[in-house]
Amino acid sequence: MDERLARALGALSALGGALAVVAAVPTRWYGVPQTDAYLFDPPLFSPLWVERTVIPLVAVVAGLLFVVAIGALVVRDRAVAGRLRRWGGYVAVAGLALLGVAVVGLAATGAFGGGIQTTGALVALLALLVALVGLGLALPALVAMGVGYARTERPAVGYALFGGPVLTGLATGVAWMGVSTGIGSLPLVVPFAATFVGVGYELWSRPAPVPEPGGHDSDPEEPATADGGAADGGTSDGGTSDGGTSDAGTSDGGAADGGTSDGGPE
Amino acid sequence: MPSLDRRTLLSAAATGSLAALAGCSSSCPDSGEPEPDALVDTGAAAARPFDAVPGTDWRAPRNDAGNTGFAREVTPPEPPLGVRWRTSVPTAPTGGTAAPASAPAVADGLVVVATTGGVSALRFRDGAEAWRTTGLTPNTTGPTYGYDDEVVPPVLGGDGTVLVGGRDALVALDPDDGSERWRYTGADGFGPPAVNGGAVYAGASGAVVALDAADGTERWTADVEDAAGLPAVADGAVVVDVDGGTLALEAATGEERWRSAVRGEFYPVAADGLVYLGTYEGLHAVDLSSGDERWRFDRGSGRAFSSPVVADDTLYVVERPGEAGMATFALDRADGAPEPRWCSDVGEGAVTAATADRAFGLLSTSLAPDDEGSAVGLVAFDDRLGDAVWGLPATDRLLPPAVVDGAVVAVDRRGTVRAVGGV
Repeated sequence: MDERLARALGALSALGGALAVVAAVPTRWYGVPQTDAYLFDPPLFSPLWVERTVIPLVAVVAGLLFVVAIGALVVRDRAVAGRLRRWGGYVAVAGLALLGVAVVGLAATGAFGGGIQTTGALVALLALLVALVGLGLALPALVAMGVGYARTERPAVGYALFGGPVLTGLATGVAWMGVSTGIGSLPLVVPFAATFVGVGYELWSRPAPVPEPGGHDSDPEEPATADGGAADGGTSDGGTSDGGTSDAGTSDGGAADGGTSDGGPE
Repeated sequence: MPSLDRRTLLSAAATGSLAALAGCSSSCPDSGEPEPDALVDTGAAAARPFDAVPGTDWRAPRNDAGNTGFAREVTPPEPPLGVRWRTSVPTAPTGGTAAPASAPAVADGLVVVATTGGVSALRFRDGAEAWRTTGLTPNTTGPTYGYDDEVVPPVLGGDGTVLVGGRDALVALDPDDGSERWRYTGADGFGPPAVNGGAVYAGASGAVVALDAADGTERWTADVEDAAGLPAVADGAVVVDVDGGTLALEAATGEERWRSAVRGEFYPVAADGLVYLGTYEGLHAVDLSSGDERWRFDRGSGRAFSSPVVADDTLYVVERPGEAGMATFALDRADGAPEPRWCSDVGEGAVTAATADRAFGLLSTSLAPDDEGSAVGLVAFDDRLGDAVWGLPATDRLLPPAVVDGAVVAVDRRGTVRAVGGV
């Protein structure tokens, strides 16, 4: 992956995390009236209008950037990632994509604006089901990715990928038990958003792939090539502690899958 | 991610499931019954007489002869509120009438309530009984909401005369002592009368009658189908619900002005040249002069609408889906069909009164009672935002309240009268 592109995607990832937090800010903080009624047609640029019009858009963009962020990580490291990181990434992208679709569906039905229009109730229900499936895929997959990255020489992104979803899961459980924090969805969203800020920092600061520990650069089930990763062209930091074929990481991913013969499972 | 909390998730799941199963639901996106910002203190600490009688009246079930339910000049009480006095009026065994008491009327320092046992007048200041009659049997009429009939509420004439629609007579009582001033027996099965321009108009079984308010002399009678509901009188017309539609009669002569196939499910409301009719197809506005339909407001099929409260710039109406919770709607009045301003899920209830900045809705007390069996039975909504500003807890279903300066008088279906005021 091109270094500039990786940096740009890193910035977008961090932006996605920030937007997610913005979308989760309790509505009363920016002046949305807390009433016992659903207000139709709020005035333009009023807090309620922002909640109904801007926040869903922010949420949708955040969801899309989540997909982009993990997708970028997968593409960057596909040449050197082991099974856990690679398949974790694929599943996470799929799960986040489903989550993004669900957010679009919920936004379209007004679920983020104080209520769901009757005509959209079935769409909203379907969107919720899609969201649950998406979360069911994304959270474990991100945790798996996190475990994979935590074992590399650059574990920080692994901690972010692992910790965010776990904390979000814990916060969800606490919320489900009826414990109110008084700050809306922030406890659920902030850890998740932090994950993507972490991913963004990783992509921004180190656009080169992260090889497997011990030079395990690729999936052992992939056939080794005679030239190993030599043709891949090393990257600025692609080297690993064990030397070997550690420079297999490439910017184009190309023959990197040829990997090395010592690739092992994560 | 946006502020998608558990309540929203559950709401979406519940709404979607209900819609899928039932096929229709309230079109109000709000979920959950209103939770008032303040509750009326029902304890003994708040109990004390009013310092003075209010400067305004509530003389008819919906305040005026047009049934608008709107009290433009009234300044209702605001929190902190308490029940200033509470008393029970005697009732007789219902004999099939589920609610043995009526909605109250308030004027000239009296609170008047009809019951299956007669008519009771209470002093506004402290709730003490002023007089009580037992010699007449008020008729029953359809429910404000739900399925239980209610006792026909009394109406106070311009001079304070208490008019009661009885089973076999329309009776006028002296407000000073409850003695009978006159009795009209030219028909039977009377509904609540309407007083306008020195005349009393009342629907009965098979007739609409116009009487002189002073002595009960018959001015005219019109033979019509069952018209014992609440008539609306405005702009020289008397409008009544009849079998198969709505009938407008000339108030002066009783001649038919027009007949419309649109039939309200509750009672007609006449104001500003229009007749408002809540039906199973929506809220209809019919020209009072011609009977032509001017507009119809609906939010999907299968959702009946109650009769509206007609305020200066707002219509308040309850949407009544067949298989889902009811919702109070505030509609911005316009030249054509109104536009919704806000809606509030009320589960089951009605909206029957409004002032310039408050709408008063009734809620079923059976849906979410507390440990003592009490629940909010009356709620005051803010007119602009629909916020529930205050609520009155009750242990039994409340009937439409009387709203006057500094006080709200509410009667529950068993005849307990509460006067709410500032504390």
